Amino acid sequence: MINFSKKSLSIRTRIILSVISAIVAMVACLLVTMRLNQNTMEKIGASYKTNTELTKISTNIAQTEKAMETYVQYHTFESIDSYYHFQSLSEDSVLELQKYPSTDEVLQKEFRVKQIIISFFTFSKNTVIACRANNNADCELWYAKSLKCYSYLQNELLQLSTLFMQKNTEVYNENQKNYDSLMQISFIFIFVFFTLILLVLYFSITSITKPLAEISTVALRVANRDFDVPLFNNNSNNEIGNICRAFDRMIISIREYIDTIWEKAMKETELKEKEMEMSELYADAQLRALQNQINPHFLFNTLNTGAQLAMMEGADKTCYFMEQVADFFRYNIQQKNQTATIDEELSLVDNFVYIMKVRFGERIEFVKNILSGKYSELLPKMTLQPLVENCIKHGLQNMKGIVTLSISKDSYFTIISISDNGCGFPNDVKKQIFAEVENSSSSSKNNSTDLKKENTGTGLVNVISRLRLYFHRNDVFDIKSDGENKGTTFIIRIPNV
Amino acid sequence: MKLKIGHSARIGIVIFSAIIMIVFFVYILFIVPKISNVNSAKLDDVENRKYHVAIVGQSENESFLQQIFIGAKKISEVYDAVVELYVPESAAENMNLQVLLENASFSNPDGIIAYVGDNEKIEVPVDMTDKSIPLITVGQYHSDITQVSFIGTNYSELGRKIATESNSYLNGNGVLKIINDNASSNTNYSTLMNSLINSLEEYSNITTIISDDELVAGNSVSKEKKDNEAKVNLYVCLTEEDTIKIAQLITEKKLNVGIIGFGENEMLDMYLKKNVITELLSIDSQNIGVTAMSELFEYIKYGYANNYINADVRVKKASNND
Repeated sequence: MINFSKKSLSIRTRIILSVISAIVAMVACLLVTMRLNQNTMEKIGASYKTNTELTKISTNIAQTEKAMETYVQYHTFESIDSYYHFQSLSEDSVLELQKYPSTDEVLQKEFRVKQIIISFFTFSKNTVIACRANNNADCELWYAKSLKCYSYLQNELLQLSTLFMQKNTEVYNENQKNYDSLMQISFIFIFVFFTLILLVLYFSITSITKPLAEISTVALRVANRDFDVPLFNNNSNNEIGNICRAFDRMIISIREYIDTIWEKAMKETELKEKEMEMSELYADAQLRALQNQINPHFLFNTLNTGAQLAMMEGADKTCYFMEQVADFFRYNIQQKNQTATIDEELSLVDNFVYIMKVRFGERIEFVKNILSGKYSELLPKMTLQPLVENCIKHGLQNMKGIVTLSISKDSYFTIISISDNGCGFPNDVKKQIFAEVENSSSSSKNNSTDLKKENTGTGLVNVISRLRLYFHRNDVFDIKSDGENKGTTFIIRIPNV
Repeated sequence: MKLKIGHSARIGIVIFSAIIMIVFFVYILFIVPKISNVNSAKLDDVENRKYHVAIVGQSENESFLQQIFIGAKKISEVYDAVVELYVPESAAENMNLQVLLENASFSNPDGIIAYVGDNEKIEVPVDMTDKSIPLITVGQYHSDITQVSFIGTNYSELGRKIATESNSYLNGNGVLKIINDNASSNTNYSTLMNSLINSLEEYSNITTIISDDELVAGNSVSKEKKDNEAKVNLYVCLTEEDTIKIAQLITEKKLNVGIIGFGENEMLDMYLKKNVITELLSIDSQNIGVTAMSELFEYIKYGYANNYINADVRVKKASNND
């Protein structure tokens, strides 16, 4: 169903309709006025028609009478032809005159004239008939009556003509007055009418262009980056409605886009801050490593020298031990990358466990549950060794420390778990550590330092923080402990790329 | 400058525009027919009738015929007739009654009411087919005219009426002077005088003087006559002309006498209003017109009518002007 409401009409249609309406109204007004003028002039001009017709009748009757006279005098064929001709002409005109007596003075006069003309025709006809029959007595009688009648008729025609003239003049004057008043009022009406048409046009065009002006104002504000503009909420189905709805959607999209950008910027800032923090932590770790570099370098060189000496002396085991220790420290002091693969980290763990085994002998049992294959997943350097060190430390609190390192994979993660059979991980310590990790963004460096002091070496907080910063996940590291003296398990979940 | 008009104002303007347009077109619808049909508009109260009746007479009888015409016209609608008065407008245009009747007959009326004078001899008018037109006569009765009816004044009755009115005015005692200035050979007039004088003789205390010479207005009048004039309580005039002359005389001399006049015209009415004329007797000429019409159409419809009908006498008094 077509909706012809104002809201459903397009601007073009509305403008066209407005213009057409105005044109039609103006043309109608002009046509009516012109038609009125024409009609009035015709009617005014016709006012004297009756006089003209009466003159024609009068002339024909005069011709008839003249022909009758001629015939009575000379009996010529021409005259009788002429008589019948003019009588016929007269009769046609006379038939149009008033047929019945009338209460109107003019019409009654017209009726009388008609009757007298008919009488005259009768008398003249009788005259002609009598003359043609050579009945002189009757001819003279009817002729005299005809002349009397004609004489009286002339007088009556004159009076009727005068009456017509008077009446026509009255009609003319009255028409003229009406015409004058009509013209005056018409001019006033036309003026008022045109003014109103202009006003209606003005309001129509204003109603059409007003939304455009509003759109223009809002567009300028938006162009000046002022997105806090009101929505149009225009439900009309025309172009303006479409533009308004599109504009509303655009403004909403821009606002959403700005919000998204803002959130993204916030996240990026947060990430940058975290990266910076990680860098700081790493730098801190390196600093601490460097502090110990003098000893490792010296010890590394010394150990190499000792290994050569042991090899020259044929002490192979000593040589191997020293090489392992040297490799451990070499890995420790490498500054090239901040990340390492799982395999590299496992290799370091092997070195460290060998050293620990030489040191503690059978008191340490290191179990690796690792499937054969390559583990090239990256993770922050020096992650696994501190955890294994921590487990050995706690495991050695028993008669025999058992440290187990397992690596498994599922669809989403590569899971590294390092467990011991030590005294377990108290929950409050665990909470304290994670709280310290959470607060690490607020740079509670001193607190972490305290923990590190307690744990010597690279602390758990450092490891956890670096893992979280690197993987941007909080669930990358977890600590599980089934209770006191039931050991501790560190779990690292590395997301598969 | 930006024009700011509210929504309701705009609706108002649009409604106003619509009203202006409607008024304009209504005005056009009203004025256009008015311009084009002024004739027609005036003819709205005009109607065609079936019969045509002519009232014919000479110019000296115009006022009387005018009253007959008014009376006839009043009743014309009942008979579906149009009544016309054919009377020369002035004495200059006056012509023989027969000519007037002949002229009237040229228009083939269905009937003619004619005022026929004392010594006039006329022939019944005929229409174009030579058929007699029904004729009703008023004025003087002529037995030799083939008329449908005659409607006339009963002058004997009129004389008695004047005598009664005179006695009433004088309360049976006083001097009454009959103005007989127009004494003529008119038989009607003689009948009237005879009837009046005979009737006045019944009132013994009323002295009657008949003035049969010129009106007593000039300086040449004798002393005796002047003394007699001084005793007159009431003037009785038997014609319109005499009544007007006496009224003028009384007005000039500022006499305190009564006038019983005869006739019916505007001037007499004026004197009656001014209480110069005491009473005015007249023939009810309008009623003659009504009677003439009823008789004419009775004849047209049934072929017969009353031959002779007396007209009523009407009395107008200064006190109540009626």
